[in-house]
Amino acid sequence: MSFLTRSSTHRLADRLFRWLTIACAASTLLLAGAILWNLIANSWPSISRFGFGFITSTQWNPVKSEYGAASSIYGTLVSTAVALLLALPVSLAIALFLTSYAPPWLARIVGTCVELLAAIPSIIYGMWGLFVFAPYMQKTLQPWLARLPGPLFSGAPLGVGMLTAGIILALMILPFLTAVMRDVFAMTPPVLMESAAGMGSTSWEVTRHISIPHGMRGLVGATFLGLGRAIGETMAVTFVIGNSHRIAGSLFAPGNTIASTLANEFNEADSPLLESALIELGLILFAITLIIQVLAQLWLRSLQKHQAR
Amino acid sequence: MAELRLPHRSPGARKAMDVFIRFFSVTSATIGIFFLCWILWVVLKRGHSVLSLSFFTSAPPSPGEGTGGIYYALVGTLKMTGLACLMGVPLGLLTGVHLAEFGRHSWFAAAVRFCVNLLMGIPSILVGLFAYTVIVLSVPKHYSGYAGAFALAIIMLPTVARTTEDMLLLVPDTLRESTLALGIPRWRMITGILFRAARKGLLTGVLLSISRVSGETAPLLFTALNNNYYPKNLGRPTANLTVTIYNYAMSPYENWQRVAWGASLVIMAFLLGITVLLRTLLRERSHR
Amino acid sequence: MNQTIESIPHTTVSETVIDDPILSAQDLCFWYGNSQALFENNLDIAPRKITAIIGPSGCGKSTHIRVYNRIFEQYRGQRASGRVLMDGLDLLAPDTDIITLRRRIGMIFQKPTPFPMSIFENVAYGVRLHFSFTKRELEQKVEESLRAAALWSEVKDLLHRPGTALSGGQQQRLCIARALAMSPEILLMDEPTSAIDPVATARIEELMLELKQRLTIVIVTHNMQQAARISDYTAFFYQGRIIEFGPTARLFTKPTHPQTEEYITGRFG
Repeated sequence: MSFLTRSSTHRLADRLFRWLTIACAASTLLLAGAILWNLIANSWPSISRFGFGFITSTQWNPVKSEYGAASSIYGTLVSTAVALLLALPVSLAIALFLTSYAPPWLARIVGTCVELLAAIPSIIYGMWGLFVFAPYMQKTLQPWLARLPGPLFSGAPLGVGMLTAGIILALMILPFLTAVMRDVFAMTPPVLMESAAGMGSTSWEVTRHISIPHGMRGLVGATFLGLGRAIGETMAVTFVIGNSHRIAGSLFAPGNTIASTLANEFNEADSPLLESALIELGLILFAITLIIQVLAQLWLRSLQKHQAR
Repeated sequence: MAELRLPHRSPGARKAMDVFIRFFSVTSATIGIFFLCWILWVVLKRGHSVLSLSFFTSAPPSPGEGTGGIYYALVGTLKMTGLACLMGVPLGLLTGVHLAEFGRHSWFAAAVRFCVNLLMGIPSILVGLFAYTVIVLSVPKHYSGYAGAFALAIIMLPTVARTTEDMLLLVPDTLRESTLALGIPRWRMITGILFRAARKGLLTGVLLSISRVSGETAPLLFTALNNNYYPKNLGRPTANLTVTIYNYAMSPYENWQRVAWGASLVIMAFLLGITVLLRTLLRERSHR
Repeated sequence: MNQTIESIPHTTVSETVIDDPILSAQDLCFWYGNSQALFENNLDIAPRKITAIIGPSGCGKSTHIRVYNRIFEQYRGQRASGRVLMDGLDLLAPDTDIITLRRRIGMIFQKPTPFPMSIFENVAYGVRLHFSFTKRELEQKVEESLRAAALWSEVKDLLHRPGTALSGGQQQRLCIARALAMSPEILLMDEPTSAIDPVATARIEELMLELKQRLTIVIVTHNMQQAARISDYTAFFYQGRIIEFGPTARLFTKPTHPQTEEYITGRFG
């Protein structure tokens, strides 16, 4: 008799524990839903006032209560694009260095150093960027780049601006990209690389024709990861982007991103409409990250299927 | 011989490309190290002068005069992070347990997994915005350390959940089966045996999540704000390290800027330390 | 290093002389880090013949042929000393052009290694690296190589399918076609049939006998029947040394060294 009672107590405890974990797991669903719902609900005044025009309008005028997201969206996309453009080849090259060129002891040191770049908090990147790197950009790099033809590098070298923000973002996503790419390269079967080398490929050709196609899906996954990180980065960008609601063709020009506009203006937002417009900016950022996230996960799922075959 | 008539390509250009890539790869590695050293050096150079024991134990200086310290901000950050741990770690841990132990193939677990990944990828400033709308805006509108801790907990949760799932999945199924075969109930098997087997991994997850939030500024901007007073309770705007750095660095007062650099050095040293610790923890795992 | 005091002689008892060898290894030694794997071996490879290298596992037979195309240089800590002459030049010399060397000496591995690209691109890969052909010439070369590897009829309608979609035996023949497309003079085969079923093995052996008309083959095999069936010369390796080398028929019927006899009669290894 006592034997049976004990077992049913255990069964009850088991069931309770199971439901506890389900409740906790459900909280993540609840959170994700609540975030979306709250952003929509709180940006509703702005959505109903400006409609779709919000996305395309370049106005940002607290005096006339006219708000548009175009410059922030533009700045977000451009600074992220600059960051990816710089960070992708460099991280690829570092990953190559770590996996094929450097002797193991050196690879360990360099690998740790690159990883430590991820440990530096965003706000320190911002301070270093504003007080040290921006003046350097202004005095050295920008005058030098200005000699290149084309509108991208034109205008006054201010130090702060889109290009500086892009470079700092590139530094910040570099460790994440490098880590994934190193793993991808390390996964290439040695016999495949031997085989390509045995046909007279140089070591770059082995990477180019074998390792990169072999790990293509992983590399694209890494790119999504970097994209997601760069697009919502706040503090570092807020320090160095110059915070202007204008769209300029030159990378030297100051601009803003969704995140930097939020960080700069949200606490000073004195009208409910401005606050609502800022939250709608947040909603747009959320939508962009959601799209990236869905694409990345779909991609990873097809990757797993591919590997399973 | 037929071969002689073949249009051979000279390997010169291909070799040159190979050498160029090699050069570029060494250069890139140097660039990475160079920037790391540059940033570390700047923070060290500008931050070390204010560093002393009293820096950790004194109140913030008045604008423009005095040296002062980061005592209030330090306490506020510790309190908020601690509270965030109390909320985020158990939730994340149990979510991870559900994913690894109960829901390996269910649609519910798949949805949870998606949301965990989504939460992990959400920009931290949006988490701050969310905490603002949920907690700060509750009537009457008031900024508080609780709102800050809530935002930090949301950032910790997915990290803990993901690492917990990964680490529990590393424990071989034979251990589960042999434990259950002894007649031990499932919840005791999980909390007693699996947690013990994976304890280093679980610790790694918690440390990882702490390191993720301790450098965060954006989620606190609209929630905890900042304060010049000792954070006795978290019901009011609460002093904290990162927003203090932000405010002081942007201020025109030279003594505040010095404090900002000093505080940066403290945070950076903490984060570098924890990263190195995590690396060794993870290395031990892979060596076993 | 120059003086080994072990009792095992490293020249064969019955001197088999190869006239005009295409490859000639002289005093070849090899190290994996600090452990020596080959000990001052001498071996001549006869042109347009099949030379089989046999011996128990770990005896250095794979290591030996991996010296010929210097593929061992892919790895840190592996090094060779001695000389390997090809056309009177030492291919181990530092100034040897490895790219050209590997074009002239193709290699087939134990496991098929189709590249992550289509069947056509797999075969065209080496051709594109080493020659500047027009598109039409390239297509001809690919077809010719696939025919030479006895694979054309099976894949001619699937040229744009991934190489990994083929069966194991087909993949191995794809790798042979890929090597042949570079017009090599020598083909190194490192246990090419050990991961393949008997029917596919028979096809590859047949193919090797055909290829012998045009090029030199050095094959490492642990299958003594295979060595006896297809090779003209056989070298028996044991513990990093060449114990015996000679015409296959002679070596398998009248081995002069007791260790050779023990191995081929199956008493060890």
